[in-house]
Amino acid sequence: MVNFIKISPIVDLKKIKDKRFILYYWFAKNSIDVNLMTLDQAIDSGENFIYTLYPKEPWNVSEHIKKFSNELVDCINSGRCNLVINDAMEGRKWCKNNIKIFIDSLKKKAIDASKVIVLSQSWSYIYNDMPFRMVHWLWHESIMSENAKPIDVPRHNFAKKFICLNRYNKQDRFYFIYQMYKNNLLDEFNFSHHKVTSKDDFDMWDDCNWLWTDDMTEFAETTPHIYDDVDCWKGDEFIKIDPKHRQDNYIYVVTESVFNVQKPYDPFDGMTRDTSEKTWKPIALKMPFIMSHQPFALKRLRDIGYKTFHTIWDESYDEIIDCNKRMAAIVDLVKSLSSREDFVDMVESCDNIVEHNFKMLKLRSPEQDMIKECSTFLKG
Amino acid sequence: MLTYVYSIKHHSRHYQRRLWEHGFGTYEKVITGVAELDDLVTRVHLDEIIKSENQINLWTKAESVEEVIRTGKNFIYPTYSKAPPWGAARNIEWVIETFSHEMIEAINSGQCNLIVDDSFEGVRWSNEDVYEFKLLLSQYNIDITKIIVLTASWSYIYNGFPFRMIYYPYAEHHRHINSEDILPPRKPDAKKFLCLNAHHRQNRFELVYQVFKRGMENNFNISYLASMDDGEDVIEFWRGLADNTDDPYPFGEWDEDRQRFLKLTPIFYDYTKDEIDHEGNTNLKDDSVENNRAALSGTGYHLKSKKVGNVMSNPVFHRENSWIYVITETMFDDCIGKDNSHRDVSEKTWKPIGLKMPFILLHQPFALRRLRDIGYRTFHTIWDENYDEITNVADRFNAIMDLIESINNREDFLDIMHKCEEIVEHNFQMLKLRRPEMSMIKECSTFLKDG
Repeated sequence: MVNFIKISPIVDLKKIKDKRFILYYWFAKNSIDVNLMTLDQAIDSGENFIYTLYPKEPWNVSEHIKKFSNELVDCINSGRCNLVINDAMEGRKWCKNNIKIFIDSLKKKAIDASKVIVLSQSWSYIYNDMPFRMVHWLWHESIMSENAKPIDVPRHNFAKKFICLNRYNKQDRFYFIYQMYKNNLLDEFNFSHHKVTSKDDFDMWDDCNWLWTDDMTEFAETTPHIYDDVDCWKGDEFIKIDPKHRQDNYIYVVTESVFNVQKPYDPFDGMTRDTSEKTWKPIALKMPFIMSHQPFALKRLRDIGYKTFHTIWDESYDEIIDCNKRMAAIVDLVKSLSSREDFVDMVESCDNIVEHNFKMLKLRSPEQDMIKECSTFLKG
Repeated sequence: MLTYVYSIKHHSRHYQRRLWEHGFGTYEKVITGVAELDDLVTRVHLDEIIKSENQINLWTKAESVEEVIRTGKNFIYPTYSKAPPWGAARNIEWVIETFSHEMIEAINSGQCNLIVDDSFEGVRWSNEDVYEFKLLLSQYNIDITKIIVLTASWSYIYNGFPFRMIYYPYAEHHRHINSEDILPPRKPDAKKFLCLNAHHRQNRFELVYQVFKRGMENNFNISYLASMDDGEDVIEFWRGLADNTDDPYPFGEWDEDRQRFLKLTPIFYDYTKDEIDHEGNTNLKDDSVENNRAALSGTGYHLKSKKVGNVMSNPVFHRENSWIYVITETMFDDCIGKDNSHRDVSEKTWKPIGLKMPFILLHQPFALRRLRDIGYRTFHTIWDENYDEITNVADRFNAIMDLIESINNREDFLDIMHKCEEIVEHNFQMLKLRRPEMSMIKECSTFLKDG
C-alpha cells in the first residue's frame, strides 16, 4: 500500500482530464494498492506518503514549497514523505546553475535535498550523481503503450508517401519542410506547419546552421499548413493515436523537439532527451519512421529493444553529430526513398520491424524505476 | 543496400568465432556467407538460406582472403584478442602480423571490416589501451577509423573512441536463441536458492562462506569450485590475497575461520556425492559421462581437467531443484574512478531469465537499473532491491547477504515466489522479443569506403 496526497495545491486537477498524468495511476496499474489522503491526514497518520509537484521548470520550486508547514518539512527530512518533482513529461536540462537554484530553494526551506525525488524524461540522467534523487521515467512511452491498440487498417489508395506534423515552430522543422518544398516533394507529404513570416517567428534561429534566404521567405508565405486540424495542447490530444495517420500515409517523418549536437557520452556537457510522444506514435501505428532528433536517438531505441530500419534504408544519419550534415543526410534519404519505384514494396518489407516494435511498446514497462524510487522511503 | 556479408574463416575453433556467426545467422535480413562450416547450427542455417528464393549468389568457399579481395566484394574479417595480456581487447597483433599488403589495403579502403570481437567479455578500455591500440595499428599502416570493436560493456554504447566501438551483448543474444518456453515445475523438495561458482572470486567465496556461517546451507544448492586457470594452488592464491596490504580483502579480516572454510572447498552441486572422492576427484569410469555432465552443468566444470567448459549451458534441473537464483557475476567493484566501466550482465544472469526464475544479483552497482532500462523487470515490489544502488563494495555485499537471510527466514516464502511469476514471465517474453544484435549487424554490414 502506498499513500498519496490526494490533491496537490499547485495543480488544478480539473484541468487534467486524463488521470494518467497523475503519478498514482501508474502504481495502481502495476497492482500496487494506492491510498489517497489529504495532506493533514497523511501527516497525522504517521505513515509514509508521496507528495507530488508539477512545476513548469523542475528547479523552480520556491513558489511551490514556500507554504510548506514545518510538519511537512519534518516528514520530508525524516524520510516519511517522498517529495516528488515530476518532470517526466519533458526532461529538461539540468545545468549547474539550475541545480544551484534548486538546492538553494530547498535549503531556504530547510529541506534535505538528498530526500527529494526528481523525475526526468532525459536519459542523460539514468545513471547520475545529482545531490538529489534523479530518476529517469519515459512517461511518454508508458502512456503510449497504454493507448496503443492492435491496428491493421490498410493504407488508402490515395495514401501519401510521408507524413510530417509540426506544430511548434522550430528552425529544424521549418528547414526540413522547406527542403521538401525546394525539392518539389511536398506533394508526397501530408504535413503541417505553423504560420511563419520570418526568422523572428522562432525562439531561436541560428544562422550558423541555416542561413535565412529569400527562398525561405517565399516558402514562409505559404504557411500555415494544416493536415489533421487538431490543437494538440488542448487536453490530451497530443497523446492521441489517430489511425487516420496510418491509413493516409506510409512513412512517418518524426521531427522531435530537440535537434542539436549534444551527445550522450558527454552527459553533463550537453543533454540528451528521450524520444517523445512524437516517436511513439508511428510505433503505436505500426508505421516505419525517419527521425529528426539528437544524434544516436536510433541507437538508443535499439538499445532499449526496438528495431530500426537500417536493413531497409541507410540510417547512418543517426550517427552524424553535425546538425547541418545530419539534416542533409535526412533530406537526402527522404529524396532517395521518394524516388524509389518499389516504394510500396519497400514499406511492406518493414512489416516485421513495425510488428516487433508494436509488441515491444506493449511489453515494456518503463515506469518501473519511478515506482521503485517513489516507494522507497529513506529513513534516518 | 547490403546484399551479402562475406565472412572469412580464420580461427573457427575458437568459441568466439562461432559466437559472432550467431549474430548474423539469426538475423533475417542479412546473408552470412561462411567460407567453411564447422558446427551444426551454422550448417542448418546456411541450408535454409540456400533454399530461400530471395537469396542468390551465396558465397560458398574462399580459398584465401586474397581471393575474396580480388572479387571486389565487401567482406568481414572477425578476430579476437589473444593473451597475453589477458583482458586487453586491443591485442590483435597475432593476426594482423599475417596480413598481406592487399589485405591492409582492403581494410583501409573500406572493402573489409576488420572486427575485434570482445562481445563475450567486454573488457575495460583505459586511455593507455586506446593509445596502445592506435600505436599497434599505425605500425601496420592500418586506418584505425575503419576498425570495429565489439564489446559487451554498456559503458561504451555511446562513445567517442577513435575506432568503431559497438556494443553487442552476446550473452543475452545467445540466451535469446537457446531458451525454450517449455519449463518443468519445481520439485517438492526444491531448495530455496541456487548459487553456482566456478572461478574463484573474493565476493563469490565470501558469499558461500557467509551462507554456511549463517546456517543457510541446507536451503541452498551451492557450489564453489575454486577453479584456477593456470593450475595455481588456490590456497596459496588466497593466502597471497590475504597478505596483500595494497588490496586488502574487502569483506573484513581474512581470518582463520575463512582459511579453514577454504580448505573445505571445492564444494560441488552438479555432481552427486558418490561420484566424487574425498579429494574432489571424479569416480566416474566413463569419461564421456563426465564430459556430458560438465556440458549440462551450469558451471560446465570438468573435474578431471579442473577447467570450466561449456559455461553457456542452462539445464532445466536448476529450475526444478531451486527457487531463487543467486547470481555471482564476475565483477563486483564500485565503478568509481577514472577508467571505470560497467560491464553488462554475463551469461550468468541470462540463465535465470531463460529459466523463468527470480534472481538476486551480485554485480556492479546499477546493474538492476540497467536491466530495467532495457525492458526487464526486477523484484523491487517483492523484496528490497536497494542493494543495487550501493556503490561501496562491502556495504553492497552486506545488504545482499541480509536480503538473502531475510528471504530465507520468511514464512511466506512460497507465496512470494508465486508473486514473482508475473515478473519472470515478463522477463522471458522480453528475452525472446529483444534483438540485442541490431547495432552489431548495422555496423558490421556498413562498409566505409574512401572519400
